[in-house]
Amino acid sequence: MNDSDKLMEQCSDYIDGNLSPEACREFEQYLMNTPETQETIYRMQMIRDSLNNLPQVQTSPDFEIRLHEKIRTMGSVKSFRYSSRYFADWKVPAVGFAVVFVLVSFFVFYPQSSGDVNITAPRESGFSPNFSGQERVLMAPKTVDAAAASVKHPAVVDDSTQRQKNKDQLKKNIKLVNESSSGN
Amino acid sequence: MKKPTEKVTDEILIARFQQGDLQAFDTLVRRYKDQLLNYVYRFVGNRVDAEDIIQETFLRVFKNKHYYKEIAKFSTWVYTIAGNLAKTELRRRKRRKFFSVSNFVNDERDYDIPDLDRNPEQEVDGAIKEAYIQKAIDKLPPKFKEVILLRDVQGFAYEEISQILNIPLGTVKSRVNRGRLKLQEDLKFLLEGEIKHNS
Repeated sequence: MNDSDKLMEQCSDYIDGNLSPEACREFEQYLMNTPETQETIYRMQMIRDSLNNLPQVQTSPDFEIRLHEKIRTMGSVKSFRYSSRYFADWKVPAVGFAVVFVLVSFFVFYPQSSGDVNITAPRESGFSPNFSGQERVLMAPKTVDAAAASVKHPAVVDDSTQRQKNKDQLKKNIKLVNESSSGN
Repeated sequence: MKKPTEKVTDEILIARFQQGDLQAFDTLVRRYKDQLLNYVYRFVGNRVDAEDIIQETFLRVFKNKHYYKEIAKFSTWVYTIAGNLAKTELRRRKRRKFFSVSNFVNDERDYDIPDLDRNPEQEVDGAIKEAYIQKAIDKLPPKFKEVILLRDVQGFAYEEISQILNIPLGTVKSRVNRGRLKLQEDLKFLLEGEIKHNS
């Protein structure tokens, strides 16, 4: 880049008054020697002034109203986009699957556990006392609640005589078992 | 164009807006809508498009308010958004080959641009002159156009332009100089007519 090019680079600085005093004097000396550059500088000043004085435009009267409307629309569109995206997201199907799994598990496993809770009547064996049907019923409550109730309020409405009868029957059974084993 | 001194600075307003004060946002809109329109209108050359761009600028300010940090001035931020949108619009319209002179004037008349070979000594209407200047601005490459508009139309200092455009200060000065040289070359006929008229 030669000296004239460097000086041409300073045209705007000269017009804007940004040159140092020494650089300004050097530039003005250059201008005196180049009339074409003087014309260029003068036209650049006119251009700058014309641009600075261009008519100012103003926004339309409903500018802010339209802006507020767009902001409101933007908010509703954003929520719609959020909800549609939410349903397409992996979280909702995963949560749905988890809920279905819990429900299915509940209905599958619950009947078995309720069966485990029930208290069945003890099996009859040769060593078990040979109670009468009524006593068996009384001795084998069908539910836990009934068993708990029998502890507090025995279903067997017996007195000491009934208990004595039971003891006698038990002794007879034991005796029978001993006789049969000694016979073998 | 000198910005008027305000009691409440732009930075205070945007801080309030970030905390949910919508009136602060409205104040910023009223403060900047016209000057931004002047900048973008001269950039894209179309009044309707320019207003749409300014609307989009403020929408982005509204949506992205939390992205503003007080490292730079608010004017730097908002002019950056507006300038980027204007450049995007120009790139989008690159295929268009026409423009209307009527877009550059405020009244409803249509104008025919006189033949450039005609006598430059004839008097030109202020609106016609404005149309010629706008046509010359439109011919500038975007990188020269933006610095010329920010410097000579909006009145920003070189340092502010450097921050808005994120380019070195020396580059700003160089582009302003080359932009002005290009404009005075394109508008020589117009300016010579004024020179003779004034003399």
